[in-house]
Amino acid sequence: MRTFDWLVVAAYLVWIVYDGLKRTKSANEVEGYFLANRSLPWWAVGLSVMATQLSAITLVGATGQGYADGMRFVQFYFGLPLAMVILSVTLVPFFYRARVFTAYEYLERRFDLKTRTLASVLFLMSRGLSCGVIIAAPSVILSIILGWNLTLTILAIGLPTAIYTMLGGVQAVTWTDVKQMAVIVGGLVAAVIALIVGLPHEVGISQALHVAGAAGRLTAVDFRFDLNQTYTFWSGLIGGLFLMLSYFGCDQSQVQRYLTAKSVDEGRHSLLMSAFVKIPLQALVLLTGVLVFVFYLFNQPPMLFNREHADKVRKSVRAGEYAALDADFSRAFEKRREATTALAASNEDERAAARQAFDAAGAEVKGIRLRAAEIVRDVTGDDRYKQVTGDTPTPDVNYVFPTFVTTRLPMGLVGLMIAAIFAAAMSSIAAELNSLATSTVIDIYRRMIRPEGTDAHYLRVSRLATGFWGLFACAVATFATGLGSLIEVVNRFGSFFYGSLLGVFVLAIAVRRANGTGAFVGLLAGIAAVATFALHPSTKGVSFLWQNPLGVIVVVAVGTVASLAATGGNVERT
Amino acid sequence: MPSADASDRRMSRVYLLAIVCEAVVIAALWAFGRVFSS
Repeated sequence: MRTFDWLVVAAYLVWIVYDGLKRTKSANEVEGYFLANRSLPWWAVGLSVMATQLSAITLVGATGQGYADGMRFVQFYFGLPLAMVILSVTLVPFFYRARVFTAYEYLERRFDLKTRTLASVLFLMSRGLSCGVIIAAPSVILSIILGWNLTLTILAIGLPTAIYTMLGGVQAVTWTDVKQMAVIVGGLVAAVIALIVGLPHEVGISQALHVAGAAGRLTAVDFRFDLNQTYTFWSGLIGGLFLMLSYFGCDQSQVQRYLTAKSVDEGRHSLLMSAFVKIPLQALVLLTGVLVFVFYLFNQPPMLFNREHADKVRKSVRAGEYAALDADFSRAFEKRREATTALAASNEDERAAARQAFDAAGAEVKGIRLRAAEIVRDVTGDDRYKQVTGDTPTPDVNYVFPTFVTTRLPMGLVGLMIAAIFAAAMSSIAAELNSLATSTVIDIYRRMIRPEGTDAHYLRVSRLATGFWGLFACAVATFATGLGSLIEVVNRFGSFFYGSLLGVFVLAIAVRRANGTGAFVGLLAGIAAVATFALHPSTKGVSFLWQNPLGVIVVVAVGTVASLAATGGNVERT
Repeated sequence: MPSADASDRRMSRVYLLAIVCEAVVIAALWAFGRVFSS
């Protein structure tokens, strides 16, 4: 990175922290600190909802997915608009009428304290750990790509976020989210323009898209019903619907965003705005990755994008073999470049033959990459190199976009894109910290430890809780980066709860005879069922999106039966 | 202030619009893939 790029990143950090700290004055009571006195406009809340969901790993990972596997990942979001409509009709008005601070407060009003506490503890455990992962994942990538110190990178992302969130509360989170979304979208649009401008003179955008299509990168919708395919129209629409219902309806980090809106209708509008914009925005992120793929058809990419692993191999006994493979890769790339140029220039009659040559050249490049991945796996012992996403070794996927940004973009744009990655990370972390502090103070401290404190006391404790979770997340991030597989474990751990938590809310609203005991037993049964389903050898390969409907069904079924058993079939309302 | 009924009717229209927009976006993505993959 050049000096000017450093200045851009530094200017972004100063601007965001200053903007966050400006909100400190308006966070002088607990309702102002956690809910902005329910005064924010729908558009700001909507942008905050989107910024919270779009983490750095989503930005970097999704562009990598676009590069390696094309647009099919967009199907993951097909359930989102439906989920937003269902939530706007059901849970959102419930939360507003109950004037709750957290989603779990509602569970005590409907069921009992133990169900509320279990739900909030599950949230605190999974979100506390995942907040560390949200910091760790981009920090590892940025430190490798830019040669930064890993701990300093973690602190550069985590500490400024913790400081402005701690002092400015939810106002700081929301208004910085608005600006961070602008930085992210601005960065992406600038990258797309740079990619289009960077195409060879003889290749227009339409020809580039035809080449991407020939490589299978533009197939965005797959109507096959195959449970083992992670992203299909059906897994996205049905599995994704349940996941999004759970995320936006039961996860405090999202519920708190729309509870800050001025009214129930403004809260609904904020969710619907996210529904309107999310799929096109995600398509833009993936298309950026597809255009990076096209760019690298004409400009030689590295054989493997994770520079750290490649460097390890170059220092090992297999360095000679790797160097020979690298030379083969250069030759194969040249062949593919010629085949790509011929395909781009082909007319209707020539297209079939040109496409055959292009496919053959692509297969050769893929074969060499996979042999390189095998060497990396032998040298580093990293078993994830067995997995392949599209034609790229899976651990390499997250390094594609940062490599492109730092080696191919012009000065200034590099700084802007690194700032966009920071923005994506910080906006998600800030919302997580704010919601973790809310649940800690409202569901645990004020409810069970000190119910009679003053507002000023709870405000002090809230700031301390935010600071604690910030430090906790940075500590988890530092630990997680040393254990690559821990990141996957944390993600998987979190996914066990999502469908089950949604199941408890469905039980609360849809089953009149459900009671606290039934909800508690049902929630535990749902988590156990999803964990068994996810880990059992016979169902392990099924797309994780199907775990969410399963969790809901088990919680509602077991919860209903247990409620009836607990009351001997009599109606019990709490 | 709008009545609760008027607000509900307006929101129903917004929900319908959200679902129609989703269908249009999915159809556009499908068509985009078909056109450039042929």
